[in-house]
Amino acid sequence: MPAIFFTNALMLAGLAALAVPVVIHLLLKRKKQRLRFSTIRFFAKQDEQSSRKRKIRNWLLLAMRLLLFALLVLAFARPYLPQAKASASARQRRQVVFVIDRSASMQAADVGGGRWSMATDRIQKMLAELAPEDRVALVSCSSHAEVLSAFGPPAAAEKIVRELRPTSGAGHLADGLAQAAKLLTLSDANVRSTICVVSDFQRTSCERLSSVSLADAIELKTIAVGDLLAPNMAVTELQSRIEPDAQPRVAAGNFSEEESATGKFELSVDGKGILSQPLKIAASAFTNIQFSLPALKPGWHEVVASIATKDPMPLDDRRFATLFVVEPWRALVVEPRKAGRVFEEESFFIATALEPSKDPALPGAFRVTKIFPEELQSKLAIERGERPFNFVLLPRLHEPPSGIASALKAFVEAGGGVAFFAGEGISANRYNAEFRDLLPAQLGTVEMVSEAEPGWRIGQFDTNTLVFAAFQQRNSGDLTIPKFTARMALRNFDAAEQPAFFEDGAPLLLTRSIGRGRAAWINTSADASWTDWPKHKTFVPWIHGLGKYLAQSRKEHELQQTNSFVAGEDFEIDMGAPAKGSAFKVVAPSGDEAQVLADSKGKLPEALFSVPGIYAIKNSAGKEMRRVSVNVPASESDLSALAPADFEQQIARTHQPPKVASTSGLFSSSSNQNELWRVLLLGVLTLLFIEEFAANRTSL
Amino acid sequence: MAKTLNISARTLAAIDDLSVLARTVVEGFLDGLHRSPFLGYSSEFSAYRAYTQGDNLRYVDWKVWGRTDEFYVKQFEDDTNLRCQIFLDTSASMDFGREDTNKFDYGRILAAVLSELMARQHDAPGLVLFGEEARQAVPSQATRHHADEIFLLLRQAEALGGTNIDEGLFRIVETLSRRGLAVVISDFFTAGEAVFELLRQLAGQHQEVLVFHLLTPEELELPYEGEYVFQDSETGEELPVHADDFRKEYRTRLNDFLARVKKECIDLEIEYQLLRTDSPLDVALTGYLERRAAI
Repeated sequence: MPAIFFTNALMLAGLAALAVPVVIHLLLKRKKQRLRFSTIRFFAKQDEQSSRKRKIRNWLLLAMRLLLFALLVLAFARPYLPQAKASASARQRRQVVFVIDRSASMQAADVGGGRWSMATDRIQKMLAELAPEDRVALVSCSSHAEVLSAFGPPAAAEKIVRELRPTSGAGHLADGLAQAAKLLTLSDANVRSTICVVSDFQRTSCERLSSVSLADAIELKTIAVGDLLAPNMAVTELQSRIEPDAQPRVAAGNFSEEESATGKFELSVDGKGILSQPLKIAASAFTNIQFSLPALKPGWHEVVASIATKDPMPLDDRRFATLFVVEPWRALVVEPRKAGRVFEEESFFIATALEPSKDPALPGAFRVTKIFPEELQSKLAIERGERPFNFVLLPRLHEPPSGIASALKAFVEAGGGVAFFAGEGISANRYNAEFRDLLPAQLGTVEMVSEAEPGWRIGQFDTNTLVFAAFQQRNSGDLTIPKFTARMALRNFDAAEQPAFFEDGAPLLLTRSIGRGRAAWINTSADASWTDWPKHKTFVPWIHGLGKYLAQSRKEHELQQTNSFVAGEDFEIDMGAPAKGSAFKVVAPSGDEAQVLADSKGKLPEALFSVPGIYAIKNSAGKEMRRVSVNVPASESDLSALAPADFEQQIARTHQPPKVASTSGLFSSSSNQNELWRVLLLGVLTLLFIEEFAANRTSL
Repeated sequence: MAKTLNISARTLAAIDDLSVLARTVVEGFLDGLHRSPFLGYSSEFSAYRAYTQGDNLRYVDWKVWGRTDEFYVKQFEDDTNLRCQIFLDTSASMDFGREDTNKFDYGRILAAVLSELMARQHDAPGLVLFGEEARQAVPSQATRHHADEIFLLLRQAEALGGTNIDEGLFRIVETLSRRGLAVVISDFFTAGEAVFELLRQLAGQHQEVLVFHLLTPEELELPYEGEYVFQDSETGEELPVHADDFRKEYRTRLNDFLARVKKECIDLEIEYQLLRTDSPLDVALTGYLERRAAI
């Protein structure tokens, strides 16, 4: 006889209520009335028999009511039979959802061994303990939680686990648990449900756990792999952007409560080491290492920062970045003055500002070719469909050679740029006549500032134009300092764009678009004769801005910025709309090549870029179109973990009545017990029915 | 056709003076008849017959003697009125029923009314009470105030004891030498076959027998609910009975009994009338008159 236990044993006190039907029975028991009747000859003995039957029936009714009360009280006390563990036939079927942490930190190796191998060993061991009729589902938990396999036999799950590998993404166990809970909600509640979380319980993977709530009928098991505190050094950031105000730097961190051992920091560009130094970081600290990039040829380059150290997670000891060095813009600067010394040249300041050095090892953004006016026409000739220069800078020309106007017009209309500078000795009439198709305004007389006045200064300027884009940020230079002593009166410039004015409202810079190209009038001299601007530091960024404007430069730094991705996160590699449907070849860090087609928006699928490293994307002709870097999420480097008990504590448990399938029978099962209250309630209902029938029966 | 006598037994019971009651009922009843039912002495000439020795000289028709010189005696329908014996059951079982439907009261009133009716038509009513013991309470007599004696006795009568239909009663029956009418008012709750023996005796004495079988609505329907200990009014014997459960069986048994009584009456050519004590008296009176007319 199996022992019966009660969930609410106190409810048994309600058995005292059994006295109620007895009392009612006794109170309501009608005292027999004595009635004098003319004769009792018709009341034969037979009624005595029925009287006895009636008495028996009454006692049976009382007993039935007592039983009814007793069953009701027992049902409220929720009796259950503990399940026999030994009996294999009586064993409750199980369904287990394995939530497998596949974040990058699972690739770490502790003293006890690799976390991933430990995890798969433990899962396989558990799978081996399950019976064939049990059902197993697998939920992968990385940057995204996904159901690897719905409920199936343990053997099928074992096969999947064997081939499973960790990712390089971040982990979010909360998402995985939510997925697992959803799986169990959809399934049969009469089997024993278990969620088994296999993880290193890295703290950064355990965020938002409180948002998950599990039914209390679901058993939660935790299988922890790895140490609670695993000291780890990592390169957490690599900034290789070449920007005027952004110094390239590397950030490295020590995720430990102790000072790190001395490691060796190395930085290489295109595989060539440019920095190597010992590195020691204080406990729980980060350090920045600034560096300068060497002169790089135009094209794609890769930068790798690494720390050589012995820590559990080598994956984050290296960080990758790519950068693109644009081809220098070719500027044609016309020098009207045939002076003997360079600094006496009219174009000295602008040419030097655009290309400070002619050293081919230190290429700047611009490559300047100086010519004399008479050479201009021949230099602008378009060769093999390509313009040899991006733009032309024209300081004042006393006598513009014949033919250059038409050559310049053709050059600009084909996409080139030209900038005219004012200056002493310009013939306004000649300019207006020769360059009327190019000038944004008609030139007038020369206006000179009087001796008593200090000179004009720059008033308004539009930093949204590429010309003044360098002055968008604060403290990027004071453009009001330069003084201007002469300028030309301008007419009919309403149609032209006016990016900058003098203080008195006269235009300093006028621009216009002609065909595919651009033309600009700078209302001051190219040298220091009419202004001291070339002597101020704002001149160089301004002349660079003008050059980029004329060359119609793309924002190359933006291109560079989107070449760095984090493994596991959602990203798309946009090859541009014209590339839609085109075939590309992706060269993985391992050297493997994969052919891939861009989608209808010209984007490449992220699945190809899952392993940290440098990827080269080439077009069908083999030309490298982009080089992208993929890195481990920085959050994965902190290996400090939650204790499994703390993990379990953070998860809210809700009481949900278990769903009972129609075929599940009358015994509701929790994890280890058969509850009997349904049987008892069924008995109560049956007795109520019989009692109703028997009590209202008037004759036997 | 008799009009319904709208005097309920309750009203009658409230009238203490049985003679007033009987006369009121009878007159009310008779008012409703189209033809007078009275028969008897010198009211209806029947025939002449030759005088024989011993005939009362009062009935010699002297006018006929004067014309024919023969003695003829006038003969009427009944020169002496009918003798009517009313047998009223005074056993304890008769004393049953609510006040307005009490069987004994109903029986007494019925006996009184019949007596009055008989007296009115110059019949000779007599009264025999039988219960614990039988006695000839009032012999049949056709005197003017004879009914008053019957009323007096009826008023004094009590329903007590069992029903002993024995030699005493049979001796009274044997004295009924003349052909007459016997009205038996009883519930017939007697032990054994004695009651049927009484009826046989009466039939054997050449009596036209009219049986009024009185039963209360309670006896006919057993309208009680629940369990009772029923006590026999005559024997005092007790029996616990669940009225609800037993009602059906009771009615079956009662109907069997009634059928048995009726059959016995039919076999003996006895007029049988089952009277509920909540029914009007005219049912009984009409029955009497119809029977009387047949004699």
